[in-house]
Amino acid sequence: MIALTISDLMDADMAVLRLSELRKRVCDHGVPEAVCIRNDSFSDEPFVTMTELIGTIWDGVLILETSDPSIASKALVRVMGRRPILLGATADNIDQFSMTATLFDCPLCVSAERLEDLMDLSAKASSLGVENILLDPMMRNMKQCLEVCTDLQRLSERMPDADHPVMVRTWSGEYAMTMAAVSILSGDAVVVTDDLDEDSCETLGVLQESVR
Amino acid sequence: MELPRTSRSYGSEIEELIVGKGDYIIGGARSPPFLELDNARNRRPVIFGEAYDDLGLYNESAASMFSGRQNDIEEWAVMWKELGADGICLRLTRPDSQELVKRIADRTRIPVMVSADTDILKKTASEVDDSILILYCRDEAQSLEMSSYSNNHILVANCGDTDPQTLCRRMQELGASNIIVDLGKGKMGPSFKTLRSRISSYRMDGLNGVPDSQHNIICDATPSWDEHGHDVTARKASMIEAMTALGAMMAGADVIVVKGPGAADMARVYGEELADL
Repeated sequence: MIALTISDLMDADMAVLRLSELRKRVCDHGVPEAVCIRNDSFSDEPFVTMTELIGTIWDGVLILETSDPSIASKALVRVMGRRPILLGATADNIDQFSMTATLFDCPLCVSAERLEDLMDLSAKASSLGVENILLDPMMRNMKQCLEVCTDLQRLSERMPDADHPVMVRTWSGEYAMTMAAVSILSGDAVVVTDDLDEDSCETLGVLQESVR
Repeated sequence: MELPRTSRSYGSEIEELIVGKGDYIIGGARSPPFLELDNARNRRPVIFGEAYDDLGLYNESAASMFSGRQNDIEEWAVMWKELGADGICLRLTRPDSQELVKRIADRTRIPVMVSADTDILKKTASEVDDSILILYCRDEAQSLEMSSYSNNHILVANCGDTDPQTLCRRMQELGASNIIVDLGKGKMGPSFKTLRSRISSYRMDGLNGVPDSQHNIICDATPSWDEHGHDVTARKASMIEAMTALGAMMAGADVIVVKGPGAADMARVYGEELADL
């Protein structure tokens, strides 16, 4: 699954325009399947407003990215029943994020650079009642993407705590498309990009269709 | 949390092949593609750019990328070298093609692959003896027929739907000594999943020591252009071709043939990064 990001700093009119363009891409190419709303403002009001706006006009999967679980909670109230993926849980906030994910029945993505730490976070979230967990190993390049995705696949054969979908966070442009492609070819990860142009969306859509 | 080790080792390695004037080595994989976790060799797949001596059916969008040099196949081959391709795949129709192949091999000094009718391939194989060519047979019948005439050049076992081990064994019985296997056309669509699965399965057979499975794998990504309409932009077609190349390389292909310079460049960069070069 490919997601494109919309910042909560974006003007509302621009966001609507952007979403209508993304909806057209979904019709034409099947990509993006998700929109990630990112809390660049680090405050609650813009994030909640943007989440509410996007929730009303975007039918696909929603991802809410914030490092503050209380801001996530406020935004979740505006998109009740949509079960967005929460992105931003780390060792510093795993308890609060797990409670939020459990309360709103949302999938939770946990992030850590070391796989050992990632497994600890996954186990912790699971013990606090989170049912759907995604793993973000914070990969920076396509080489790391291939190695870590393979490592996680092999771990999942031996450890239930590793048997979760992988999330890949990447930037924009052609390198982001390549990271997304390697992620798809390494095991169909959820890929959150800052931005992709239309040709890149089409290319990834064709690739996804061809390997699934 | 302490995690179990996930690295794996394999009982066999893929063969290495010397190509061109003797200064290029391809293959030699000892792990699934690029996987440092399993002690991968730091060597990337090689990228061949294709050139035609007859542009009759050649894609116009692709032709626009060669600044007119596609009208002279020797110049086209030199351009591929300038663009950084590891080798050139010549699609030939002329009866005196062996002379052309010699000139291009001498002028570019990079490995040359030849795809042509059987008569041309036979003549080229017998008359070119100062460079190791890759003779890209178009189908199973040509692979078998050329097996007795390879003259120490490398033959492509074009498997179609045939089991690759069986075809390689038959070719060796007929005299082929150096073989690369082709397991299907590189193009997006429903067949791509099957192709990747075949490449991956043959590579794992090779690493696990299954007889007749230690040959290198070639994937021709140029058919990816045929899936577009004539109005496709070179950029879009190149991106799809590069994705085809990436998918094949990540499944285990050691040699990739591309049509567009953009795809060649992207595939080479992908290979370098994944191989940690």
